[in-house]
Amino acid sequence: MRLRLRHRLAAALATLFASLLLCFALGQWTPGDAFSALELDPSVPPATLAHLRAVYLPQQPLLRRFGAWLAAAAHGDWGYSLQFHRPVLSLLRERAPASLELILLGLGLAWSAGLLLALIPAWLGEQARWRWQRGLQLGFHFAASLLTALPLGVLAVLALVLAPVAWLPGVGATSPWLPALVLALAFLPTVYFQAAHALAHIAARAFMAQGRAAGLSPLRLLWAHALPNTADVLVPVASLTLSQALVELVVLEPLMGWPGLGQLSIQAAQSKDMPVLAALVLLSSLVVIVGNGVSEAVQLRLNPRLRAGGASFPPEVEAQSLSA
Amino acid sequence: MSRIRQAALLVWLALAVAGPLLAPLSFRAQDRQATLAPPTWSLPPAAAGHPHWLGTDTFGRDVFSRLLLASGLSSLLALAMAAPALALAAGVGLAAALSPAVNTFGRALGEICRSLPWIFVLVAVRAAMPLDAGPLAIALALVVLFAAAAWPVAAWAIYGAARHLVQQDFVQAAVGLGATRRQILLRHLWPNLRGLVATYFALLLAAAIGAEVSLELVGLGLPQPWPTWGNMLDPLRDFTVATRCWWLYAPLLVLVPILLGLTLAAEDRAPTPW
Repeated sequence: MRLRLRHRLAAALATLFASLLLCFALGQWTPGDAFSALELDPSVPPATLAHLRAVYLPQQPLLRRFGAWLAAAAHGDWGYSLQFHRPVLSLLRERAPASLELILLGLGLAWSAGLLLALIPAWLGEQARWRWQRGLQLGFHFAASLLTALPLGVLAVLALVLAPVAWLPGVGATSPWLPALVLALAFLPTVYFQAAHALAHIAARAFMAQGRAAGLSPLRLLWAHALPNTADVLVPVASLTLSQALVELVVLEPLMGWPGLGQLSIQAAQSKDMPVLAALVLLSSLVVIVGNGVSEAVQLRLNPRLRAGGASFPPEVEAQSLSA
Repeated sequence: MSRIRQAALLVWLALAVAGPLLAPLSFRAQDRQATLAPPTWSLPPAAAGHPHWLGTDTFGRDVFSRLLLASGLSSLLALAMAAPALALAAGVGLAAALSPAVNTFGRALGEICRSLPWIFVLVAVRAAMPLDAGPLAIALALVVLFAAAAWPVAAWAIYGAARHLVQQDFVQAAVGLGATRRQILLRHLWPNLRGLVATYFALLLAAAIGAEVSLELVGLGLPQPWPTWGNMLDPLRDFTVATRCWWLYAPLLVLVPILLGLTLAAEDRAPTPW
């Protein structure tokens, strides 16, 4: 059974709640706070330190503090960053567009290139050029496997080294192309493998044989009949790549010097800026949950069988299970 | 193909287990007179010690010895990250296929875990840990968060396959003959699911190694002086070092074949589209 909307909403709220509570508990139970660094400074008297802590760090018990934070967050007050001396919400509003730009550009590149690479061999197959199809498939397959073998961090480091040599677009805070390219290369194999898999399954379906017999051109057959039918598999993959890309920003942005949310999280971690970290966990959970919800809604819209409660497991695992 | 795979697996195992023992020099001894020294195969006649076969890093530590130890540590850490994730996935997936109650609960739990932005949480956890936290505490944080984030997808795949089997005639016949759940699980489901579980183990191992390397590069992995594949690549973030010191790329020579082997092995067992 697929999760109903109700269950999904409950799971989403539970996720948010769990990750936030974890953040708060960590802030509470572990040594050190935003002013720990000042303890080392002999010019700051202990009384001042105590005063600072009394003013800036709430002293209530954990659960009450959590409740107060939730209520404030619901009213648009996401706390105050002690590192940047600004409200957290304005900080997020400043950094989020950069991350959004990077994700959209990177995933857009990955998806268009991945679909194209999967469609070309399928197109050759429709034209019965088997030898070409097989050769290209093997080549793409190996290239994609090789890309999978390079972790995102390694890709980023290599891109920075190669950028001046290969005349890749410049490094720095102005051009999103280099980080986006790295993100795209990291997600290209996933998109390619899933799309190639789905297209190969669909090529064997009866409606494709019907289309061939009716004399549809290979391009039309693929574009109008095969590709829309891959949506069932590729929509959940899209939501998966979105949530993964969001998480990988933490690695990509500090390495490439891109001033987005990932870099912010590392900066906040270095100075134990708990309000910023809590807000980032909240924001990223929200994005993932909304992304999953949208993907679910699109799947329900596209596939009437799911609405009737027919299919019993998520389509992304269907291909695996059939073989077992 | 399976011979090659077995041989590769053996080589990796030997490297991970025996590598650290074979290291000719200490992994933490710093030679400040010879930082970033290129590889040498022989020492000047009067000198004592051992030549740096793969050169030295920014602190003058022997790259070859560090690489041997790193192969052990990184493999162990990846295994420690992937094994709990796989155990959780197989346990929940199989239990859910046999019991509807576990299915509902496991699915909700999986949904929660999948939405957890685990690296953001990891950053928060690391921020909350003391700065001099030991390697064990840091590894534990990695293991717990990776396992929590990675199990649901594998669990759904195993559940799907197990569910498919349960509906087949031979399992239904066993149920009709009065087989217990334990018998169905061990005699009918497990032998048919071994391949899928092995595939997911390879995928999870690859994911764990990749995550560990990436996190290491932003300073969220094991602390210095303990070497891992990831933090040995860290000096390459300096452009001058990266363009001049080619021997610092050595960890890639171990890392990339292992990841490539794991990916190909997983695809080999999974159904390929052609």
